[in-house]
Amino acid sequence: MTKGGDTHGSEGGITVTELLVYMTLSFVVVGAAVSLLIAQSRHARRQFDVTDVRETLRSAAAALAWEIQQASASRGDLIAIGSQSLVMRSIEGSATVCAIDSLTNSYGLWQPLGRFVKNGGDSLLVYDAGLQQWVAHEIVNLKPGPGGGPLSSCAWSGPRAPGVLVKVKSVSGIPGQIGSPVQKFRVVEYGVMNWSDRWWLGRRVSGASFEVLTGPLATPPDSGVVLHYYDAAGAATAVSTSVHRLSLRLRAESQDSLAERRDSAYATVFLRNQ
Amino acid sequence: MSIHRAEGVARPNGDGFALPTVVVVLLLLGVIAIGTAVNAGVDLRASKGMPESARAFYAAEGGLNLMLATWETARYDTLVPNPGDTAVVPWVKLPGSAGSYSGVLQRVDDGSANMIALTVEGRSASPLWSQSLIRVSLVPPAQPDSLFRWAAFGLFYTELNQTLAYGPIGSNGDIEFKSASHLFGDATAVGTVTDPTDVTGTVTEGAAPEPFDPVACPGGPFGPPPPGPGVDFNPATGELKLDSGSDITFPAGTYYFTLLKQSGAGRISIAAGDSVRIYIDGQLSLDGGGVDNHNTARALQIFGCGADASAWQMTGTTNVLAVYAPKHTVKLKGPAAYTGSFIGWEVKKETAGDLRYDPAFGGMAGGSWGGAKVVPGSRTQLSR
Repeated sequence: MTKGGDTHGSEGGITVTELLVYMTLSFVVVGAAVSLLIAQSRHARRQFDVTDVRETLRSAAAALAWEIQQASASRGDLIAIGSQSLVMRSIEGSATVCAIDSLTNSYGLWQPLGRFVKNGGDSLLVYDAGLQQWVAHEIVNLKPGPGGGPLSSCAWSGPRAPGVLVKVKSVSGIPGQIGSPVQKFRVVEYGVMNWSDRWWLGRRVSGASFEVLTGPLATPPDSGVVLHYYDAAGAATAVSTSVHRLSLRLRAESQDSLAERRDSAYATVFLRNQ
Repeated sequence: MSIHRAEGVARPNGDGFALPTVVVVLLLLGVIAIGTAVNAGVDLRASKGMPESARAFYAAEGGLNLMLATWETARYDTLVPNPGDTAVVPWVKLPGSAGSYSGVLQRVDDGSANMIALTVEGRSASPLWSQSLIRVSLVPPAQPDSLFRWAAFGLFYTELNQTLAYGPIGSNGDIEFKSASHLFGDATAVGTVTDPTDVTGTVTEGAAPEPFDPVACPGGPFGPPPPGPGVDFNPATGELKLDSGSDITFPAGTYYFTLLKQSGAGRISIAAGDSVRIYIDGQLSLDGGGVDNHNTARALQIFGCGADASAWQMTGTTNVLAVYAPKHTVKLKGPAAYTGSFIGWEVKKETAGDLRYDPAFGGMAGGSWGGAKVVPGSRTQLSR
């Protein structure tokens, strides 16, 4: 049988056998690649979940520890202490009084560090060396310096101007002297909150709504955050002004609720400002 | 049987589709691999951020603690003597990979107080370094008093008997510890210290002598006598005898007597915030209820002046004061504790009861007695 008019020569084409071989090989290669990708994807997902849980624990522990470290229990920074929530003064900034205008209840602050912007519920702690205690005042106004009159320059010699001007609410004069340390703070509550049917570490500022900080955490009653408070002698205490150290137990779970990856962390935080 | 190649599926030049497919797949895999590697690198750097931040924080905290612990010897406050002065403590590398720290001091008061703002910056050792700041306000230790730098100093001899002493003890002669006495502080003698094992602190023998100059008596008349019952004062001889069960309050000021003798149960009182200096060219004998000066030794300073070299003694129940009597033997008796600074030709703490240096004089060496005091609650930490 001859090929009707066709000449093979250099003419290309594939036979059915070749096609079958190619297809079989392709299926094998693609199948192996797909199964490899699926396995890799599952592994990556597991790894992501583990990392997610650990990051949640780390960030929650870091956020709480950072706040608690610089609190002073004896000064009243811990306002309400509970096993799953903590209301406290959150220190946002630090500076030094370098000018005082008693007529307007205003301070000129030198070298402000941290956040010195006006938010809701801002207050200022001022150390009075004469009274040897901190006095808190609500902030009425906060703006960049320098100002006028006695707030135009710092009390020290040389051309130095206050970086921030703070007016506080007071009807009986203002505490502090030149050189007094000041701290800007807001009242913050940390606690477990529910959002999208999951539990999270939340924070609310000055009584406003909770906002999510990190999570998700384990579901109550297997609570994600448990706080214990101890006094200087190491005994458990429920008196906020006696707290010397605090222990955190955190339980977190992955974002993917089906995977149910969980982990826990414990931390002990000493209050640096006793 | 042969199979005809289908029309229209001709292979020009004999090429198949496997090679282009493999090339495309390899390109895709390469892109995926590079993307994965980049992501992994980003994740790695991000995961390192937290420990680096923690290292920076602890470097700052360690630096702050080191500066406070060494304040007495480093005297950082001398770098900022005037209000508004600023000084920088250069970067100090901490051991190993603990990072480094630097401090900025500023004298922030207006001269009416003594307040320093100290900001310590910590840095992690990694090339991906992170920074952390800790700021405190502190009150530096008082400048060492030129006279009262010792808990006890005998120009000829210093003896502690049945005594626990806290603070620096010295002598231009020998120091002797008797009958279970122990010193928590430094012992410095031109002669010898017997026994050095009774000292928890630095023992120095063969030290250079300390100069203690004699004191000139005030000019003018003796007195004035303090007001109150049981006060017997002879303005001609300058003798003052306090023989009363009541407290005798010395108003702030300077007094000059040839004898100060206290007996009975009453105490010598100094009002809070007042300062009293008494010069005695003669004998001192405080055998009453002691001194009530709100536990501030600086508030009552008694000086031995003139040529008299009689022995002085105290047996009161509370004794917080400073005595400078370079010609007198000063005997601290009774079971009571003594707080302040006691300088004499000889100083003998003869019976049980503690002897403590008043750190308000600012001369204590070692420990935190003479260190800076951090304003409670002033510690603020910030990261950037």
